[in-house]
Amino acid sequence: MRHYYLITSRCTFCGQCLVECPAEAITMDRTGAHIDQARCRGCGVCYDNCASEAIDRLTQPPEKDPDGRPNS
Amino acid sequence: MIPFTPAAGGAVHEPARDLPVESEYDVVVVGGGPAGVGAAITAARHGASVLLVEQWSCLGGLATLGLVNIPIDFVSAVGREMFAALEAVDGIWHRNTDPEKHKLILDRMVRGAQVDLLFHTRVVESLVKDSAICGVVVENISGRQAILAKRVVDCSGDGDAAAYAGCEWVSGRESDGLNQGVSTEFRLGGVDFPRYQAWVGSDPKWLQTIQKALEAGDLPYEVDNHLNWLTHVPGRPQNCGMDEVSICLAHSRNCNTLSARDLTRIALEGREQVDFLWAFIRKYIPGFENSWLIDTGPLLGVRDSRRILGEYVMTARDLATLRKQDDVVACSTHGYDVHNPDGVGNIKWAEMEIEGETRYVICHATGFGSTLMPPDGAPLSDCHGRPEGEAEFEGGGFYDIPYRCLVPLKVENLLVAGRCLSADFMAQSGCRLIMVCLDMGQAAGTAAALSLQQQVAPRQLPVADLQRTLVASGMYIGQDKHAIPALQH
Repeated sequence: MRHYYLITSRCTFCGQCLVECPAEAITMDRTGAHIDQARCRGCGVCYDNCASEAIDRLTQPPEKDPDGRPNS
Repeated sequence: MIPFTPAAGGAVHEPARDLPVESEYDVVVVGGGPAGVGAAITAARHGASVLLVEQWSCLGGLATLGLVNIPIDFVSAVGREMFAALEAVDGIWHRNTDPEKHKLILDRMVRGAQVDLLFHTRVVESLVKDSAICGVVVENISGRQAILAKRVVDCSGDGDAAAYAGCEWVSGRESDGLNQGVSTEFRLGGVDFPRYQAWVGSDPKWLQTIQKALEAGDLPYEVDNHLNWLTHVPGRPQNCGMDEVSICLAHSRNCNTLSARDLTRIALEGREQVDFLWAFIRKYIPGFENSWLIDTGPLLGVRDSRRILGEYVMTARDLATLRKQDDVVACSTHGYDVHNPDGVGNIKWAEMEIEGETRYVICHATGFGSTLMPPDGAPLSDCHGRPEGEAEFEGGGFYDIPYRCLVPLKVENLLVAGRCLSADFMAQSGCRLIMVCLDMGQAAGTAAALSLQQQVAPRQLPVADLQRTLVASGMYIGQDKHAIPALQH
């Protein structure tokens, strides 16, 4: 099943997901890391390597960011 | 027995004596942390007889004994084998490891490579002949002995063997000599992790919760202004209120990590801090109401001490500009990461001059996670001086660690790897994490063995040969991302 990923405000800014993402779909700003859903291939490498378990795995594309941040 | 003989200046005279030679090896690796493990395994795999000397009774250093169960950064060669072995025993999950399983995995990997081990042993001197190191002096329950070696790889973290051999070194922040804040990590059991996860998004770094507890008098002083990290130890009963976590929050400040007196102060302070931090956590953090303290890390979380000056000194600017080097032997993705030496908070920016202006530069946006911002509200910027909003960062960016940072000046047949590499204070703060130390170790161990095969000093080893060997053995040195001269043919 295709999964979708959402980086929550639990992000601790370690940057590991930026390095792991093969699609270069992740960026970071003052509020933490964000996934560009248009670029995400759903591989889940970010989820597996997030040492803070800050990434939620979803079965549907996220409609909105639960933390009120723009969901690109 | 030493006859008590007072000497000049209030000292005590110690007569010269002959030391028994305990053993002789091609390569002696000093220190069994991630760097030492990488160095010992690779040197042995390339044909050298290897002894690894470790002051504790297990391998892994801060990754095991320090409870720093968060091996982030690149996974490469021996690191990949280690991860696979950990996965096979349910010892890694979301880049969080089980420190106890990790110890046994490392024992097996090192012994499997035919490395000899000597635990409970400290290196207390280096043997040097004609400016070349030729062994170390150790002390342990068997007494004081010499171990001879054709090459020594100093993975002690503190650069002990290199310093004793007469290498030049520096320690601490350039402005005041203070080392980074030192942590005592601790584990709590009986945690309702899903309950914690549901709450923590509202105060992810515990910034507000810590302030609330301070105001209520439930914290005697501000140990830190935020939670540094909290990891979820794998292989435990999970999601039934029985989870186990490891926490980085306790900190001592104004540290001199080269003073045993100060390390003692820090250890005492750390245990006291953990005692009241645990009470604070139980009272304030959802999911921890029924938690219990499992342990504090027996190895203090010292982040920096000696930095051994080598053929090149990595700079803060190298990190921010993601500098690539022709003699790259390891890569790191981690930006500046300073646990404030003399106050709370962490600093993920470096002050530098860009086109005549003072800028506060961060590395690929992780610097936005700083909890101590630049003075007077000055903005953070990228390496070109562009402020937040205009700043641009390369996705997946990394910087190179050159071989020259592992080759100390002046003393031959000696290499260093790990957090004692040749770097300035801010550069070292980024390239000190577990996986990059393991990678530096692999580079140094491989270089030690190759230099023996080629009968040249490590300083003269053709770096192209080293890089080809590293890549052939599965090391990642950025070969797919930038042109490395040695690999172009």
